[in-house]
Amino acid sequence: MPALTTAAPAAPLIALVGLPNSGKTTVFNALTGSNYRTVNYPGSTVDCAIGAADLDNRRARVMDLPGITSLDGPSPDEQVAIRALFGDSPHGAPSVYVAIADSTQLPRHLYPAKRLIDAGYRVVVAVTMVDILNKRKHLSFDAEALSRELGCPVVRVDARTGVGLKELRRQTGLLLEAPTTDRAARPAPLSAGDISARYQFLENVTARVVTTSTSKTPLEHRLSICMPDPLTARLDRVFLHPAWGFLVFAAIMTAIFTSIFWLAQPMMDGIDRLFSAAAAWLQAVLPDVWLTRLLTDGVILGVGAVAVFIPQIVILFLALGFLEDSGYLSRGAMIVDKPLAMVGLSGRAFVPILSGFACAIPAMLSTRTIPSARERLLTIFILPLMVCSARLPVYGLLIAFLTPPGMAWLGGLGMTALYLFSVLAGLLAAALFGKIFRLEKSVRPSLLLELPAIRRPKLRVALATTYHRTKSYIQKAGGTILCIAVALWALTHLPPRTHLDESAQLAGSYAAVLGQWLEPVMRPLGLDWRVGVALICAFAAREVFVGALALVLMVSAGGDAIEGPLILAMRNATLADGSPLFTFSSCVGLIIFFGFALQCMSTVAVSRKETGGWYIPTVQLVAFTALAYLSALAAVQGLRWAGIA
Amino acid sequence: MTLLDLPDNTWARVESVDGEESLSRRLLEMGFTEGECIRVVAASPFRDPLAVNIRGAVFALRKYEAGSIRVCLL
Repeated sequence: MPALTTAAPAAPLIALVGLPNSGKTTVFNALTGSNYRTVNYPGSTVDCAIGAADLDNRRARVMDLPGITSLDGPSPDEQVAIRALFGDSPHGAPSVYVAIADSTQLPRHLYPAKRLIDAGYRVVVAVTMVDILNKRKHLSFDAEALSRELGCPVVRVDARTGVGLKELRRQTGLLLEAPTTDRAARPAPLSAGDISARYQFLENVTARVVTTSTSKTPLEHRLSICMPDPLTARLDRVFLHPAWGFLVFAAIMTAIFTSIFWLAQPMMDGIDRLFSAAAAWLQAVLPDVWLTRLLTDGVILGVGAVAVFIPQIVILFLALGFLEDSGYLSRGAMIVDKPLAMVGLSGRAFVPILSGFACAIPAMLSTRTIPSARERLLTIFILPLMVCSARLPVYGLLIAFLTPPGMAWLGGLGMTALYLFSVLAGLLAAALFGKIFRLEKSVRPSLLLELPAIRRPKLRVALATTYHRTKSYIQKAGGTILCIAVALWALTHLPPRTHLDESAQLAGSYAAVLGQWLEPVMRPLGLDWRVGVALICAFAAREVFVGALALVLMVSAGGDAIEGPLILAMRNATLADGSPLFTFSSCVGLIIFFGFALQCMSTVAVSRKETGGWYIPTVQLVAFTALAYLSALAAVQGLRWAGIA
Repeated sequence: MTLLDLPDNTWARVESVDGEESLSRRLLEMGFTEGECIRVVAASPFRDPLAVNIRGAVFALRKYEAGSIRVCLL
């Protein structure tokens, strides 16, 4: 919200400080009423977010920051947070700090807060997760006692139900009114002895404010505070088991990726019929002029061919949302750490890779939680290879084309195989790139990943996440697809000549002229200039390929569905010599081409920004696209040599 | 002994954190301080990484990270 920061420079700034998973973003959402997503995964907020809040009739700006463990953390997301905490951000210096602390892990969560308090900053402590402490661990928490111990206001908050928010607003507003004391200064890093002493102090405080009703020895009491809650512990016995854990992991991943294909089918058919009905209705009510045909055969067909695949994307986003909110993601990260470490990556790359199945751009941003520079660059390097949601429409079409009718499960299996293949290709690329190119060597890369408490995923949270991600996908892709659909319709219908049937018109169009240049490149792949034109369009955004193909194959939108006729047109399309255009080998070639090629300009831009130079994006663009063409060529020629058309 | 030698689900106390300065400092700041109760709750194949319970939290630690934490049985 840049308007806020410039329009209201006088509004004081409140900074939210807390460890990853402390419930910071939930408090931020509740204070500002904004709908930013919260994620039950360490360090998932990777940048500052600003929202306006009303604190007891006082306007203030609230700043959400990536989670920090200490005031001297090493990873890029922590450094963003620490700089902003001490005033080095466009939003100015915070006036009051709201420290969010998980009541089930008080010493760790109070550690950064205590250092701010000692350095003279104005701090309110908001204690979260008291329900887990009460219900799952049968311990009680005394906010007043903690307030006396720390010498600052302490409020018990449950942002999901709204408990304590009013009090938090009031206390924060009161601190804003309080006269400023001597200017507080950023504390210097502590010595090892001092760190232990702080923890000893906070440990003693915790033993006094977190109490139990049953009589226990001091050691028993200490251990009961130290243990994770029983539900998480029980589930972790399965999730983190050397054998069962891997099976559960494999089952979850397979379920997600197969459901993307077969669960979405009924919804896809519905959207398909909707668009066709709209086109048919328009054709019936509007006069038969070129503008009508542009609207029905150009716009509706081009956009509709891609819109059909939105259910698959929604299912993927929903599944990711559930995994995030439950706390399972970091367990998955632990399970895959060893295999990833073998190729120079880290378990922390798991979440970026999984988000890469939705889109490489947020995935690249989420690599900021990886502390080692080398592991982070390698992760960014391989992300464009993951099967992103823009590839889904293309694969969806090609797999549907290759799947015999009535064997949808085969399509689901094929889709899962493609996901698996993309991960394998990514691992291989990481291993090769790590060997061939010298990247900045750092100290031994560490994992140090927190596994948060497992919670029942909230449908509302997952739905909100899915809604925002799908919306931004449509916004991002929609405009491009619309423009290309119109441009392509014009290219295939111009120059205008009358009394020609459609194929003759197409053969004499500008698109055909453009396509002739591509013919020599496409022919070795068993494809012709029409697919070449669609591929060129796909360099703006991969998903455009489907709509573009529908346009160059002259599928008419008048029928009762788009996907069916498109597949029919693909079956009927022939090369110049009369042999079929789309054969098993040429489709496999296309799938392989899309698997490797970096056909996404936004990804190149973000890769440049996140790696701080053109080196990695250039290597990605050249190497992946060359690899795409050469391996597609090898596959097509290899299949033909083996006697498979 | 280090965390690597500690049997699963057995409580111990942290004696010291050795190893590289940056790592040991990071572990200290995350709460792996002397005298704190600690145990291994789960292990991946080849005990790498380990899931370690300390201060109400569970962390996944790589082998060399776990190996830098000296512990003694409670």
